[in-house]
Amino acid sequence: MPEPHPAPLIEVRDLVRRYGQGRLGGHRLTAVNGVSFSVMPAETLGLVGESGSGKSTTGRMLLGLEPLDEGEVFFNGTRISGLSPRAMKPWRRQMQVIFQDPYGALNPRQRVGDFVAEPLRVHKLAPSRSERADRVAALFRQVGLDPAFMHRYPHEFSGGQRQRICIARALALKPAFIVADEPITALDVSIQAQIVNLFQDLSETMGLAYLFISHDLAMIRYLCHRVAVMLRGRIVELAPVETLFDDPRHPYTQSLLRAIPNPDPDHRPPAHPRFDVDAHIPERDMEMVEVSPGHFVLRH
Amino acid sequence: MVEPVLDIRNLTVVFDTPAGTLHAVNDLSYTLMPGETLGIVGESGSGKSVHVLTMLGLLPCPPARIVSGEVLFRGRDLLALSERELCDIRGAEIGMVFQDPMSSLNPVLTIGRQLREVIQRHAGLDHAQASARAVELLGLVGIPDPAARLAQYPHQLSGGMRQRVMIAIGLACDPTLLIADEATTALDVTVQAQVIDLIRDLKNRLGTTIIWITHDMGVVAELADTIQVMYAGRIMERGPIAPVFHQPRSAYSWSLLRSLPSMARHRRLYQIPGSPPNMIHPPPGDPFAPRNPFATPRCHRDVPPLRQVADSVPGHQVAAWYDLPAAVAAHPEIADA
Repeated sequence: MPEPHPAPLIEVRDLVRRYGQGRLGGHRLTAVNGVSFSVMPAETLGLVGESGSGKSTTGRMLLGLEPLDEGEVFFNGTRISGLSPRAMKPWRRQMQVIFQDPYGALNPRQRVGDFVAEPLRVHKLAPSRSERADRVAALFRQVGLDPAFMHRYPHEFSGGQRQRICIARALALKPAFIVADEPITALDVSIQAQIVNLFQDLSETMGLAYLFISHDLAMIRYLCHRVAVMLRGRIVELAPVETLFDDPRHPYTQSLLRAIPNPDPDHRPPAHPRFDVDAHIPERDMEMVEVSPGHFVLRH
Repeated sequence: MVEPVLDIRNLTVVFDTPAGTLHAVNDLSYTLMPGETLGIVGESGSGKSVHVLTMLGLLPCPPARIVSGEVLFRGRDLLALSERELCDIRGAEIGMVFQDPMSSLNPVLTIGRQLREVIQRHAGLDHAQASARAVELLGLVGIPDPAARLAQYPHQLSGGMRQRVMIAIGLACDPTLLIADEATTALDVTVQAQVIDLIRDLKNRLGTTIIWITHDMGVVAELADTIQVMYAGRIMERGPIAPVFHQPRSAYSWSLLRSLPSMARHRRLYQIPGSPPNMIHPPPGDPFAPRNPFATPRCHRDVPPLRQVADSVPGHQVAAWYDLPAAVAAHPEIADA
């Protein structure tokens, strides 16, 4: 849990990303519209919302994988947005990403050990081949893989094992922060728990902080300390996880929570109330208002 | 005596692959009664999708090969029908909804054309009548302004709307049996909730018999009367939904439920060890035995038959050599792990 008044590890302020303002005059879509939040050291912040709400774009902007039209990103108090790729490089080591599709992230013709070692080579952290092999073996053990698998190719692994390989690579540079974008969505149910437990272990042993992007609200509740809910490019509610689930204030959050399928056949809900997104699109002059300690809601 | 809508007997399906014979569906038998909603859960490789594709004649053979079995739909063996006869049943008496609406809908045909095609093919209505029916169906699945949608193309609709169009097509001819395979998996939870409401409403009003295939235990709990848990091409457990959720008898169902975050608020998630089985070289006995902490020596040797659970409600069946409640009670350290 975060300290009483620690400095944020990550802070983003008023991120804006627009698409389609090209010379061809396509539609202008504001995918991310004034998003601000912070992530404390060793904290897991959940980011939920419907598809197209801007969750993934926010994660990519934070990492510098997507340009910022407006806004700033701070790492440990230092502004890292707007830096040249070269100036950004030392910061990149601190921030890693894990994607939904572990197979798409792997190179089918590269041995998985080389895939995990690549960041070490690029950042010249383990210059000799034998040092790198030792480091990779340690990383394999850390994510629960047999180091003997280092010389195999991606197709020889199951989905869960491939995601472990991606996690091992993300850990290679000893980051402080990981953006996990739907990291378990593509995995079988029996494998999801393995990966989630691994995330928790890494948080405890390495003090890793996460931005956990997911549409699985039950998993968000289980794993996260705080949750931000996005709707049409804006955060509409942000709160400590139990507060959000016990006392949701924004109509969209309320409808999301009611829509979670409950694996208890004795408590079948009556019909789910309809939520009309178009009637609740965040308006320009709305602001985040603190309704209880740490609980913010977008309203007039 | 009410006849079952569907009676699957000893269905075995394999795939001939360069690496060897893959045993996808292994001696599968079950029946489905009129008006029943069967929720089938299982992971990749459980045979849950392959067996429905087989009975609909939608599985390419080769590489698939039906080794044995019968699939009696209202008394007729679907596996013995010609492709032409199957075409008359698919989309009419049996409606289907698959996971990915973007690849199931034809991108260059309007929504109206695709709906009318099914209606005219099976119901013998003319163009105007079919259009009227199409509008009615789109309204039924909760699509706003249905008449205007007929002229639209799939790309003009959101994912949730496309999935509703797929459901409308599945229901176009008032099917006796609706088969939905991960039909809400790609949808946002709020849209999924609306589709669940829609299906429950249809079931109540039309008495449609439903097979709902999913990996989501929550969706099954909200929709199904009967749950069937599949693994490695076999039924591990089957029964009325409440006893299976409250006191599962298969270690696999038990593990799946214990790995759900909603069931484990303040403890570590139960982690099913190992990986799904290699179905080219399946384990010799109970296929879940290598991942089952309660497995007995016999589990590793012999395949257990699916049998009625002695001390549960009628219809609660399990394929297990062990007594799960007793095994869990004897090993609390496993349950708490």
